[in-house]
Amino acid sequence: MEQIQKAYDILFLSCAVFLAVTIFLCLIRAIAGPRLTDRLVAINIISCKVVILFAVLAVYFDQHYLLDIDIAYALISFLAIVVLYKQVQASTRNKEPEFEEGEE
Amino acid sequence: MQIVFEWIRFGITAVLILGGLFILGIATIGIHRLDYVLNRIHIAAKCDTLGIMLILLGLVISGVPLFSGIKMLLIIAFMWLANPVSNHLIVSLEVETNEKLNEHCKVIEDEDI
Repeated sequence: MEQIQKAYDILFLSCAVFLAVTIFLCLIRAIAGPRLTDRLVAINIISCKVVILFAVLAVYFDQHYLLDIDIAYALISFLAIVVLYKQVQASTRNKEPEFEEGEE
Repeated sequence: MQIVFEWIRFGITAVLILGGLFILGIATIGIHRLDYVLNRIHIAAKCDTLGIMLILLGLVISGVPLFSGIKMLLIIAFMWLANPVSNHLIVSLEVETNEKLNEHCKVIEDEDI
């Protein structure tokens, strides 16, 4: 049984390290992306990977209250995309009527 | 006999988790290799949705307590609802804000339909 426990620990730890490295690589794309939507795609992937990382660490450290934080993080990451969408859409739509009025 | 079943369960868990990590690695390579946002979001959305299902299902099978397993299944259900919606919002934002969209893909105007 100890061997199985050790194998699980190695599996979860390597999973967490791999996820951390790929989060860092996605952060490079979020910094270098030429447009706003590139950054939003990268942020969306990062939040999805952080949700997975929380779940893996909750099982690895045997602290299962971390899963509650995980659910809240998933809700907030979805809310951030929706709020940014509404904000950018409102700012681009407000420009167009002003431009037309200026022409008239 | 018990120990054999435990090793079989570990094997299933390892296959699911390593498969999920492979999928997420493909997503990371994809957003660096592909050129345009719509191509990038294509691979990002699919790989995220599949990867989160595989890894959390592997964690559920690995023998967590009952309510932790239910919470993980809840996370899978919520991400499967929320992830396509947020990616759809990003795509519609790109279509609305990019004025040179027809350089990258074929655009059908409203008058043509």
